[in-house]
Amino acid sequence: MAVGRLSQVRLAGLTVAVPEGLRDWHEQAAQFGAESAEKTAKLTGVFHRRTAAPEVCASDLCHLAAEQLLDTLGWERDTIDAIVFVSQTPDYPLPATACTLQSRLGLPTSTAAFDVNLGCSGYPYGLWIAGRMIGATGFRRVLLLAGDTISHLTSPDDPATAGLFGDAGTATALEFDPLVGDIHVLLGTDGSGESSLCVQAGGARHPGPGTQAIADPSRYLHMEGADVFAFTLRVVPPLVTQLLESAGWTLDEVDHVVMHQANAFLLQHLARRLKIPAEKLVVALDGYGNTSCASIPLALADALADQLATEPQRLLLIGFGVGWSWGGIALTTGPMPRPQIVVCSSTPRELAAHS
Amino acid sequence: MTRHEFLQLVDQVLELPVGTLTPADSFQEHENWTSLSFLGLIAVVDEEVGITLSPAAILKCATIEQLMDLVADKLSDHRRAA
Repeated sequence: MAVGRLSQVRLAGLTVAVPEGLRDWHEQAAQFGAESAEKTAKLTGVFHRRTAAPEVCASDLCHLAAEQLLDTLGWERDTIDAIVFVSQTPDYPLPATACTLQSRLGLPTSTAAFDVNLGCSGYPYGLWIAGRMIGATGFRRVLLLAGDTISHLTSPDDPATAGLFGDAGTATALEFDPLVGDIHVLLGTDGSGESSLCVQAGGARHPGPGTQAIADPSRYLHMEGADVFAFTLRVVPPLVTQLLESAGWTLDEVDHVVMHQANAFLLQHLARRLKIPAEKLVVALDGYGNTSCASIPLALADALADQLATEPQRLLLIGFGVGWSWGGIALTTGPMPRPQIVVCSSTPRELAAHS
Repeated sequence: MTRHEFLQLVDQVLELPVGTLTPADSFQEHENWTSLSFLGLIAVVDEEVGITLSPAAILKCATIEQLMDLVADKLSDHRRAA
């Protein structure tokens, strides 16, 4: 695994925006039968989730989260050096959504902006990329915007994905701080897993069908659940062990382990395998669903907002999935403004008018 | 773990009374076999035997006997490597 380290980078704040559309597992009961839907909901831990209306994009949710975060931190917009948008549901094939967000957020034209196409591993990767830009001779302030609307890619007829995914957008503020400890990073990839979690159509290799071809399965997310599970069991335990070694920590010294919120069964199985005590494992699936690259910051804001606001926290952030791609971050956060979860009830047009 | 105990694990995964299945039975054709029991089987073997079976290899097993052979092979590879 690629080993990295970030120095003099502080996680200054975090905000999450979720759509107002609240969905419930009974929809799947009507579609797939009550017994099967209930078993699935119990296994995944997702009885309720939030999904975005078709016209709401991940960028809209990230936009709202970023506006709220800038207000909370009191950061002037002309102090932002870069924005990184991590998503697998960008607004367009081109231009990069980060460019549109620079304009929508009213950031100066001196801002560096680009997209990163990663899903479940996207938050650790995003922290590493954004953090690497920061330094005494580099950028001072970077916004990491990680969000997805994966529910727009799931087929209502597929029991493996229909009730699992939710949508969210997040904004994380990173800034130069010479007095903070190092952040330890591990990253890895095994692209042989490309077909196990894949949306085939819509890219350059398989351009069609358009979004109008509702019945064509190639426009929907295909997920081989058993492959995902076996991949995770293969990769995550050594990732956690090596990350602890890199940081020089024992599991006892970690306050919380926040993994990509794939499903509750998987997280609890990994915790048993790694001997992570239940009180250190964050499970924040119910109410939101699996929100792809947004799931780690969402879980932080949902489960640890009070702790993050009051005391330093030693955290392991572990992302894994589509690619196959994985990343782990070991960091100590200082007290930060209490992370907020805001509900987005605006349409993209209203958001644009507001900014 | 004995083969008899393994058989009981498969009963458990398929939510059947202990002693229902025999080594000659096809677990994948049982009416209780679903995508969730597929995950359950991988999880229980990982937890009880300490090895992660490949889903593709599981799908190639026509009977529980073949599944037990797969686990035994994988376990001896694992021990050789250790």
